[in-house]
Parts: sequence; C-alpha cells; structure tokens
Amino acid sequence: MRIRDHDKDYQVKDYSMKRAGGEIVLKWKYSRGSHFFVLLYDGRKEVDLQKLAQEMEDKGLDDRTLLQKGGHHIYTTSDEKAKLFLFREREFVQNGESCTIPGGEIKHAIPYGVSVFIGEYDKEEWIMHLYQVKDPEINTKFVPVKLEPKIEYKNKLFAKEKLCVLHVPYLQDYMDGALQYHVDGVRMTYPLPASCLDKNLYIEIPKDASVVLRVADQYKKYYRVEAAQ
Amino acid sequence: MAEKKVLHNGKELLESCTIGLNENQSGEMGGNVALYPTVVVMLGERCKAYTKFIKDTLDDNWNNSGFLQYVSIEKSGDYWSCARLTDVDKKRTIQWSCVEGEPAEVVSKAIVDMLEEDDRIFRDKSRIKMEFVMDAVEEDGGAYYDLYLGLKNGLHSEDLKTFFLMLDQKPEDNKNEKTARMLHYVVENRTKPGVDGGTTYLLSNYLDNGSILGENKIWQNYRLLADIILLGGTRANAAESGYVTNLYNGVKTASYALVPKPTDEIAAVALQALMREMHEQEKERYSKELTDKEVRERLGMKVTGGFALAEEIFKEKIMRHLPSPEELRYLPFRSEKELREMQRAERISDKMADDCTMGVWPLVQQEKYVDVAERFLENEEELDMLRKRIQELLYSAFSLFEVRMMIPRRDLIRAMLREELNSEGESVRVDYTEKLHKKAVYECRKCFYEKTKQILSEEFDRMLDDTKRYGELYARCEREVQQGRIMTEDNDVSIERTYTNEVKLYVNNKQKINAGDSAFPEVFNPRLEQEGLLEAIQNAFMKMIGEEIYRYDFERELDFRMNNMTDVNRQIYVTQELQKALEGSIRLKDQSMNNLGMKISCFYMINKSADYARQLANQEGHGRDFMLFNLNRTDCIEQIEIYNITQAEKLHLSQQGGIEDENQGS
Repeated sequence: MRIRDHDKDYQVKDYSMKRAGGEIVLKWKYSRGSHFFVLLYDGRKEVDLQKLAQEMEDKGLDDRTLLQKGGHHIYTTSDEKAKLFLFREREFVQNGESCTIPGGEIKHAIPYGVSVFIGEYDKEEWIMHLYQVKDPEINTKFVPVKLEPKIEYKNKLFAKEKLCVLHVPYLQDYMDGALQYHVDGVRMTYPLPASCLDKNLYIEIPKDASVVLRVADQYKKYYRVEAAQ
Repeated sequence: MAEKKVLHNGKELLESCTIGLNENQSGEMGGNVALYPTVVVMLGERCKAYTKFIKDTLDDNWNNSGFLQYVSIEKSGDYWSCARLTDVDKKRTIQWSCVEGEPAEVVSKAIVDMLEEDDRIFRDKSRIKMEFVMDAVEEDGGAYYDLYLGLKNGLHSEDLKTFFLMLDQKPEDNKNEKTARMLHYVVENRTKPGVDGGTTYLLSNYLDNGSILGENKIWQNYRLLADIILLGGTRANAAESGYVTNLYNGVKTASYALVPKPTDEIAAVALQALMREMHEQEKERYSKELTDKEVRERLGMKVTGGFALAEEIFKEKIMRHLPSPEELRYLPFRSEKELREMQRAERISDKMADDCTMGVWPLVQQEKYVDVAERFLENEEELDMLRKRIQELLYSAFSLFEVRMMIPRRDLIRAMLREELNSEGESVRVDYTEKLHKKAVYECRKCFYEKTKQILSEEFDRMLDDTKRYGELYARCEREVQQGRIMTEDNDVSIERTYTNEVKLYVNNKQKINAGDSAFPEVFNPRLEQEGLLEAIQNAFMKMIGEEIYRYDFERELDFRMNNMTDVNRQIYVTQELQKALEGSIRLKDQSMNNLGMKISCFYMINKSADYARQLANQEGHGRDFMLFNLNRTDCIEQIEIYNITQAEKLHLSQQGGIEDENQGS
C-alpha cells in the first residue's frame, strides 16, 4: 500500500455519520476512487497511516491479499487500538453511497474516531494508492462515549447547605480535566482527575443550588454527558 | 537653527554646532536697500555652487534683496541651458529651476520682472546692474565671455555690467595655465569696438602674500564680490556717490580683510567644554556606589523577593482572572469527616489537600491558577509589555554613572535580582478556603516571577552593557570633536579660558536647578546609539547658546573676553587685526612683480552701532581716504581696498603659463 499526499480528486466531501439500530452508517460524496478505507480507532490517539501500512506489509499482507479478504474488516492493529475496513466503490454506490460499521465493533467507553480515506487500485502493478487528507476535520467523525453520572443531594437539617454526591463511572484512558462539574451560581468549574472516577465525590453546595457534569471544550468530541440519574 | 540632519560622528557634531552658533548671531535690520534692479548671473557650473555665499551676504544687508534676480547659464555642446533661482525672498535657500529660452531672453525677462515691481522697491530703475560671475577654469570660458560681452537688456536703460573673473592659480590640472589663458582672452576682448566690456574684477585664490585660499576659505572671495556689489549698488548719499564710482570701469582687483568674532572657535571651545563639564559634573554627582539595600529600594524589591512593578502587573493581568477563595468552598471531598478536618486544620499540607479532594485540588491549582500565569507568559504582546516596563523601571531607577559603578558587581547584583520568591507565610486564623487560595496564588506568582526575574536579569545585563558601550561612545565623540578643532590663532587662550569658565558655570547652575535629578537626562541615556547621542548633545548645545553671551556682537564679545578693554585699546587691537589680515591679501599674485595695481579706494564694512564705526567716522580721512558701509551683521568688521590694474595685459600669473608679455622689457 502506498500512502500518497493529499490530492483534491481523492477527497471525501459532505461526510456524515449517524447511528442507526446500533450500527454506524457513513455517507459521503467523492470525485474519484476505486476503494474506500474506513479507519475505526481510539479518537484520542492519532493513527499514522505510514506506520499502519508498514505494519501490514511486515505481516506479509500485500494489497492483493487484502483485497481478496472476505468481509469489510480487513485489519486490526497489533495494539488493537485501530481497525481498518474496506469498501469497494461498486458496493458503496449500490448501497446508496453509504456503508455500515456493525455496532459490535464499537467497544463501550472508548471514544472512537471514524476516518474515511480514498484509494485507487493499480491493477497492473497490484498496488493500492491511499490518499491522505489536508484537513482531518473533513474526513473524520467521532463517536463520543456517553456518560451517565449519578448525582444525588442530601439535605441537612437547619443548614444553608446541602450535600451533593457525584459519581462518574470509570473511563478507560481518561485524561485529567476532560470532565468537570459546575455548581449553580459559581463562576468556576471544577476539573476532575482520573483518581475521581468511579468514586463518590461529596460537595457541599448552597441549599438551592444544583450540580451538573460537563465536558471540557477540547474533549467534547470524546465524551457526551447524558442526563444524570 | 542649525539644520536638523543626522549626525554621524563628533566632527559632524562640531560642524553642526558651529553652524548653529553662527546662525544664532544677532543681526540688525539696517536701512540698506539695493538702489538699482540687480541681476546676478552665474556663468558655468563651477561657480554656481558658491551662489549661496553671494546671496547670503546680499540677503543679510539689503532689505529688498528678495526682489533681486539670479540666473544660471551653462553651456553643453552647442546649446545653452538657463535656470533661475526660485524663492529668492527666502533666506538661506538656493533652489534653481530650469527655464526655456536663450540666455539673452532669460536675462531680459529677469530684468523686466524687476522693472515691473513697485517703484518703492528699486528707487532708480534707469540703471540696471548686471553682475556676472565665472570661474576662470570653466570649460569654454571664451564662449561664456563672448556671451557676456554681447548681452544687453534690450531696454533703453543704462547697463552697469560687472564681470567677476574668479581666478584659480593652483598648478594642479593646469589650472593656472587655463586661468592665464582666460585672463588673456578677457583682457584682449573687453575693449574691442562695439562691445561693452563693463567693469572686470579679478579675484584669485592665490593672494599677494603667497597664501592660497583652500576649499574651506574660498567662500571669502564670493563674499568679497558680494560686498563689492553692495558697495556699488546701495542707495548712497551725495558724498558717497563720488567715491562709489571708483568701483566701476576698467580692470580691478581687491584686497580683503575679515576680522570676525571668533564664532567658530567659540563653538568648538564651548562644545568641548560642555561635553566635558556635563560628564564630569554628572559623574561627581552620581558616582556613589549603591549598597544592595539601595538597589533593592530603587527597584521596589521586597523582603520576600517580589518587587513592586511585578506585583502591579501580576495584579493587573493575572490576579483578576484567578478564582476567589469563596469558590474553593465547592471542592469535592472524599468524606464529610475529612472535609471537617480540613476546615479545622491550622495548616493544610499539599498532601492533605490532595488526599481530601481526591486529586481535584492539585488539578484546580494547576488549571485555574498556574495555567493563567503560563498563558500570560506565552503571549508575545504581554511579554513585550512586561519587558518594556522592566526596562523603564531599570533605566529610571539608576543614573548612568550609578550603573557604571555596578559593573564590577554585576554577578552579585544579578544573583540578588534572581532570588527566589518566598511565600509570605501562612495565616492560621483564616478560613480553609483562604489558606488554599493563598497557596495556589503563591504557586501562580512563583510561575510568573520565574519568567519575570529572568527578564529582569536579562535587562539588567543589557543595561550594564549599554552603559559600558555608552561610555566608550561618549569618549569617542569627545575625541572626534577635539580632532575636528583647528587650533590656529593665539587668541585661542582667551577664548579657551573665557568660554570654558562660562560653560562650567552654566552646567553648574543647571545641576543646582535640577537638584536630585539629572540635569541632562536626554544626554545621559545609556540606550542612545551614536546618532541619538550626537543629537542629544547638539540639542543641549543649542539650548546653552541661547544665553546672551553667545549673541554678543563683535565688540561686546571682545570686551567680555579681554576683561573690558578701554576704548582706545580696543581700537588699537581692531586696527592691528585688520592691518594684519589686510596685509598681502590682494586677490592677485603677479609673478612679474610689476606694480600694476593702484589703490583707489578703501571701504570699511561695519555695523554703524559699533564703537569702532563711530571712531572711524570721526577719523581724519573719512570720506576721502576711506568710506564706511553699514553692515547689518554685528559679528565682524570687513575692510576692502580696491585696486585699478592699469596694464592688465602685462599680468603674469604663473611660472609655466601666463599672459604672453608681447611688450616684455618695454
């Protein structure tokens, strides 16, 4: 597999992603390309296409072999952090210019990045040319992890304060400060380190205040907070 | 004012200050006006450069000089090109504009423009004065002279034509030979039938006493010719007009004595003294080695290692973005029990805070306190501002000389500036949120100070380096000014003594007025580069020469410097100086030693308010042997003697070449 520089003819356009019935449905437009590669990976880590191609080559997986594989899932990296899916142009078009990643490929508690790359197969040389992108925002979408924190309040008799008990579930490879809580009427937000996960946090707050869990701006593609239980 | 141009070295500084002092001299508005319309015609390129010396003299002395006309005529190939001076009424400006037309037309037009002026401008319009100037070495000199001979104004008026031939008798490039040939041509052709040769003045750079006027003195010949124009063209009374006719007709030369107030020398002495006194007095005032305590005080440094400026910036730029202590009340805790323990604790350790809040507190401290300082320090604009303010603090806290004294202790002082910030201690009687807040603010401040102190240290080093460099620069400027001086006259001693003393007093007074502060902060600024320093010194000089003593006229200055001479002694002194200057100053060196010149008049050009002028006016011979001309300038006395050259054809200017004496021996 040859990784090529950005070429405007081999770029996805109007890329969209939605979840339907547990599956991930991807749609995009394109100008040219014989094959489409969908890379599913931990969105918090970048995947180097050159290294990926090298790894496959080192394992003896040439392009002809990859193309002859059955199914769409053609490769998983050795650290299991990324999976590569292949869709042929004909079937993509027949599928209404869309393709699907089964829901079973998505593990819980990992925020996935889903990136689409266009390839052009040279039948004479038996080489797949895979084109990089200039702006990752065009060909990448994220599947954020849904969080459901537990927030309880305990009133205290004859006190102006009450106790809030916040519980955030465990998240693999969580980055300190990605989540933060906010107290009504207070300007500051309180970042949470990994050491707080899966533990009860006791916060003394004004009697009429409430606490919400938020995702820090730069991590919003990785996590989404659902309404507290 | 001296021209505001960029100065590059001490020599240029001296030149600029000299010009400044010369321009500073008082002139008086005399009543002299040009009697006749006068056009000055510069023939060729060589003499055109000296137009300024003619115009300045006429501008200084004729109230209606703004109405004179100046024409330049140059030959290139077979063609003549002409130009006229624009903005004639503006003093000290020379601006030529090319005009169309043949020379005769252009000169005619210039004359007509003058005749069209109000009758009050030129009282006598029946005569037109046409003053032609040419360098004898000019290419195609003969063609220029032919042009001169043929030029008439075309109107029914009497033309008073004068041709000033500027002789160059230097042997290099065969100039003396060319001059001799040109002179021969003039002498041969001026009296041919049908031509108007007018009056011819021969003014050489080779004087009768053997000196040669170099490039720095040749202007005197142009001033002399302008004086001759003044003498012949000024409205005169009946007694004078007879005398003035001696200035016309035939071939003439002149001797010239200029006894000026020694303005140039005064400028040099005053400038040198100013530079020396400013430096020495400032140094004496400020050369005290500051103790560490004094250094700290000047910089507003506190015992904890902080300093006032940094605190001000920290408060302005960082502190207001930090959380309030009250907001720390909503930190999470592992348990209520631990919360109460922390609330009651006298001192809260980092481990306690970390454990109690399950790691939230260290993250809050980093993100909400320390990161704020780091973001500020990553901002280029803010860093620039910080650096500039620190520079201002350093340069305003210490004088140049105090900084100089710090140079040997550079490392020690630098180490002191970089002392780590200490905590101000913990107070046990405050709420736990206050305690946490104070800790976090300290961490934030520490981060801020690390960079700020680095900048302080860098700028301190830069200030010391600038100061060292400044010292070398100042010394070099002083040397260059010294080297630029020309030490000649034996009255240097009195000038040196008098003006050195005056400058010392001046600087001393300024120091007293500015007690506590530097008297010359714009000069003693270590950030100045060479050009800036020279400009600052020039400005200080220009301010100083606003004092009255620098504007004294010739006589008052002499009195002042010579400890109030009596009138008689002063007259004797001036007469001796004039005599000394006049002797051998005839503007013609005749090798054949024929006594071809006959003195026909003597003029003193002097301001009428001068005592010497009054003495001369009462002297035997006034009106007969000599005449006085009122000069508007008050800073000099000039004496001119006019000589008729009776047999110009016998002049022998040089050893190699000269006029062929056909009648040699006769």
